[in-house]
Amino acid sequence: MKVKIKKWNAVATWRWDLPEDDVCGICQVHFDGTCPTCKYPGDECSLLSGKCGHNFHMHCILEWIKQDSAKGQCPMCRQKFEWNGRPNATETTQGQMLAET
Amino acid sequence: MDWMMSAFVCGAYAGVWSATDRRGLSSVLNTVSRGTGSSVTSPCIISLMDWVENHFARLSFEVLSRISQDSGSPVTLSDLETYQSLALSRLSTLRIAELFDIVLAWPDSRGALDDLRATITTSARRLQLTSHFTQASKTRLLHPGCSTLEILETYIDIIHTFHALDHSKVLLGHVEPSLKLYLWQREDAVRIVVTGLLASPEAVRAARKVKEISKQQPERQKAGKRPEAGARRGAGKGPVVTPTTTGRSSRTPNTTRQRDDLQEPSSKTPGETPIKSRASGTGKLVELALLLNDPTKTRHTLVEDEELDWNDMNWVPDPVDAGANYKRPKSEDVIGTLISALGSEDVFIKEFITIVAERLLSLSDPARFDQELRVLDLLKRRFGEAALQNCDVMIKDIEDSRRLDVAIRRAWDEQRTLTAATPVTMSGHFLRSADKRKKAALQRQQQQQQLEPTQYHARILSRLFWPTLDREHFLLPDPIVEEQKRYEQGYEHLKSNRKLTWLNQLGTVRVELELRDRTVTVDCTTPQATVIYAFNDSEDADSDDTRIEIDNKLPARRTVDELYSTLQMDEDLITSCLEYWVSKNVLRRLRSPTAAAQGPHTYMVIESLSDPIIDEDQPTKDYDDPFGNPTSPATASQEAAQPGESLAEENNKPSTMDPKEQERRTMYWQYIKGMLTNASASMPLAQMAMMMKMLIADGFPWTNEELGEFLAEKIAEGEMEVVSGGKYRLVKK
Repeated sequence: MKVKIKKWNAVATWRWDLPEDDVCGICQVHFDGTCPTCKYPGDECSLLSGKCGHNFHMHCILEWIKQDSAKGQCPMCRQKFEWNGRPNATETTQGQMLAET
Repeated sequence: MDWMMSAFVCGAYAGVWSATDRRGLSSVLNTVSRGTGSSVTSPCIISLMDWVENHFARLSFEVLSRISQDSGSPVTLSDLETYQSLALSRLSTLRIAELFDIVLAWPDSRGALDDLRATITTSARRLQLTSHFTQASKTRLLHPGCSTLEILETYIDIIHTFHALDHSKVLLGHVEPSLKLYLWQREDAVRIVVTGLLASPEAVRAARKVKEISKQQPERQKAGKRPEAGARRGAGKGPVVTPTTTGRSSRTPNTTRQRDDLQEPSSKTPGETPIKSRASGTGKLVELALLLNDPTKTRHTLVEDEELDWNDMNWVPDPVDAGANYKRPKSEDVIGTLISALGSEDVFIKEFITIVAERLLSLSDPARFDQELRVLDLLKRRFGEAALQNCDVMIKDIEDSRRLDVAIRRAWDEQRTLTAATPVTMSGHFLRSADKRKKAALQRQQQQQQLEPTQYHARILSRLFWPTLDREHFLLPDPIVEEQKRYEQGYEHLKSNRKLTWLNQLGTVRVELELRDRTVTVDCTTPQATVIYAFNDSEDADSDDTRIEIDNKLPARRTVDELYSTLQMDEDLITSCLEYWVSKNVLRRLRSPTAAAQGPHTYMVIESLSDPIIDEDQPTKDYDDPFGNPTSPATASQEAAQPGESLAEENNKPSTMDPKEQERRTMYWQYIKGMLTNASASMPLAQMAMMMKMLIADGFPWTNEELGEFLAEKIAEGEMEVVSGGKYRLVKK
């Protein structure tokens, strides 16, 4: 008998490539989920990781940085929050936005 | 003396009334089934009134005037009214007794319901109705002999009937509890409702046809019965009509009639059979899909929240037996009633999500989920947007995956045109001309060419929004592993910072099996494909499997143990997959002692169906039948001892139960972790259980022992530890 596989429909799940599987420090929702304002995870609600090693939902940390009381600090470690550059197109633009704010 | 006599006459006529009612009923049923008879006062009541006035009253007049030698009329007009109301109450008793059959005959039984509506006027009678119906449904419907589908179908009819009977739904509310309680015991109830909702329009149409056919049959039967009933009516009425007969002589026909009555219900009792025939015809609760798609019904639900409508000219006060916080429902709302009967909305939504997930994953063509989308939209109107957000994400995942699939494929094509200047075929045979310069690549290419037309697609899911998807470990066929890697690379290239986790056990495969005398194309699941791929004969010996090379002329043979070691698949799963292929007539199970010596379960490919089973060292009598049907009692017992199919079933059961339990466990674990980080670092078991009982909104059903077991598991996993005083603590990492 010869078996020919004509078509293979596989199923996979995606996850953010992070060392640990955790929740966003601001909204307490899983990174693979969405921030409270978003409906769809993934592209529409990406992550932003700071140089201090803390990751957040992009929308969450942007909201946080906008506040005066935040003083541009990471909400977790109170270091200055700087975007940790990674070759990601969306994140670059967001990083620029962050620099402007 | 006078009073005693009249009482006696009345008593003697009790049976006559109900007998006449019977006659009336059968005629009403007949007229209604022909589609007439939905007037406000039913023909049955009219005829009954007429009969009381013209026959019964006259008779009693005669009788009474003979017995009492008083002057003046012994029967007054008020007496007539009493007689009539008595007659009506008899009628309602009869209808109440028949209510279950009326429900089953819905919607052909509207006439009988009109009778009932007109006659149940007192709260005592309403109570009698509900209690009697509950009793009837308990004995006739709510027993293990009825499938859940049948019960649900009858339930829908009950909702319809009681709504027609009583718009306030109070009666329905009284009848429902026993049904609800029973349905809660049926685990598959929610599932059946959901699949019914998701039934495709084609299925609905087909079911309708089936229904029409099955409806025509009883009608024909009825038509056959009708003349007979009419004849009996004529015969029965004869003696009663003659007003000259005395009370005593009228009793003789009466007794014969009573015998008739005894016979008639017996002809009616097969009421239970129609349920079955109906359900088996459709197989699904397609009524729900019909109702859901009915635009008028959905509009009603929207209006329902509004306050009292002051322009409602048909307004009637709330029924007397309504509860304290009774709220008047405006519409029939079968689906709403049904869903609320099955427990909370959450339960329903959860089940809905699970089933939608299954359907989305099993669809071979991802373009076609219009049905799901439509049902989803309709359900959103009912439950609100937020409750069904997961479904949105799920559908978007599937759509995105399709787009991504195209994008990844395009990226590959570009890559290929860059590396090798061969013509690009758009049909997705990538790697056909992969780098020819390297030998290793050449080898790989050979492999690729071997299953050249494989189309590899993937669906990438957002895991938090899907119901718990278990990961089942096993090794995929080598070419697929290659494809998987490539796909993963393509994905990670497109979406940086993201990783994929493959769920090998999910997905669909189309395999083509080239056997000696036939070619079989089968759509199957991934484990099934993997198992059958292990039986693949490959000419080139480069395959790296621990595959046992048998003489090419002999059909391939594998034992479960071999498969277990090569595929690393769960043994039960292997067995169920093998059984699947046995059922497809591709594999055959060997039972000979020598085969048994090779391994407990050996399976062999059926290369050609016409072949006499060649198995050099086996007694052939076991293999006369390629379908694996046992020919001797010995094999039968053997087969009973090793039931592959039942294994498959058993295998399915825990997998349907597990996700819920697992979800619950992970949730509890989150709570425990939260408690031990936020409240106090270490805690005794009892305190933990108490806090969880307080914290968890759905309630915490575990006993302390169960929680203890769970914590012990966590300790075994190294997540927790026990410190002094039997307190539990999280292990610091």
